Amino acid sequence: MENKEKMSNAVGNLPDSMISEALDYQPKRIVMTKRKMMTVIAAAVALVALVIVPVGAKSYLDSHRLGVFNQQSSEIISSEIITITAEKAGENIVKFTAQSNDPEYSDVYIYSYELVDYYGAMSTPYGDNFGKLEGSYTNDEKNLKIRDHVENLALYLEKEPFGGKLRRETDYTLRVEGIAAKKADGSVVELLGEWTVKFRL
Amino acid sequence: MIASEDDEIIALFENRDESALSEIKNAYGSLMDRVAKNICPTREDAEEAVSDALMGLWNAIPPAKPDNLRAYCCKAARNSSLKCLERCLAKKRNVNASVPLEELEAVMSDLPSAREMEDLELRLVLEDFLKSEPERLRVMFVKRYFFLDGISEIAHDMGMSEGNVRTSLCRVRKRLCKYLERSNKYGK
Repeated sequence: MENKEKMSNAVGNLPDSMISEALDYQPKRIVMTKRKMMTVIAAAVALVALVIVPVGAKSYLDSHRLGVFNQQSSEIISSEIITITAEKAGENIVKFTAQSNDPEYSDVYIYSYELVDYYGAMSTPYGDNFGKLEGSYTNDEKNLKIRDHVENLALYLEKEPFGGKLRRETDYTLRVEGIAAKKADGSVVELLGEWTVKFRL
Repeated sequence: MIASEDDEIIALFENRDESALSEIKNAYGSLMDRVAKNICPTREDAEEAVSDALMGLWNAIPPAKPDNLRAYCCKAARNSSLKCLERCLAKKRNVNASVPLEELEAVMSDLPSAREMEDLELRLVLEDFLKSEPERLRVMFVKRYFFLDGISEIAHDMGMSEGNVRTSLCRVRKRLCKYLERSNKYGK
């Protein structure tokens, strides 16, 4: 309780300018240009026509969020700009690939994600300074251990062998919240949005 | 509310004119209500907290002469609402508003050395830390931990998904933890 009060008091005494800043804050939005929109649509149509997506990806960003705003090194983007696909890459291994539909962004890879099973969110890992995402996430309750790593810009999830309670055929959802990308001017940015991909390990 | 109107309200307070209370209620009453409703468990508690805050303003001005009356009102409403929340917690009433405070508490729990920091020192370090953060994250932090806004409300206000807000706040808390550790270590 003492710690809670201590932090709460510190926050309660923040400078007036920060309080006003929060009250007056308006997210900056840049609406997609018609040309950019056409490029994205054309790329999306081409993808659907040419690529057989092994596992369905569904984005559910609200239409009002169709737009981008630039702020420091993070940008909120429309989910249509990035397409994420999943494919089997071996026994108990799934490979996730992110692809940019906008020439402004290249070298994209999944940077921050949440793994969700039937019971809800299991873990929320994220990389550091756009570095390599690598870790091991354990859910003791479900007797499940998953390793992840990024290789050639693809995210790999691997389930460790176990005699667990969950069936092998359990459906999972990868909920991606952050994508690292290189912009046309060479800078590296984090693209924030929401993409979901269903898959089986 | 423009500064000259704030000055007029402050002048009413200084002259001990009771219309100052109705004027400040007209100007910032809804904002104070919002702050109180975020924190207090019931509407009645919130109304009481706002009344207490107004009484606090009446007693404080003068001698206080706030430069930013709007922020001053928010702080008064927050303080009286937190006292109300404390009373409710003492009575073991079910209170959801304490969730953001528990998130803040966790920052300290992860860092035993920061607990020894003086209140003023902690305040200055927190201020420095927030100044070093991008505007978007600073605003998000203030909305969550000063105004105790819900995740969905912040997401709506900032045009982001709830997941993005949760992840961003989680990262800010982790960075704050490291910053506190560093500041304490080097006796900043």
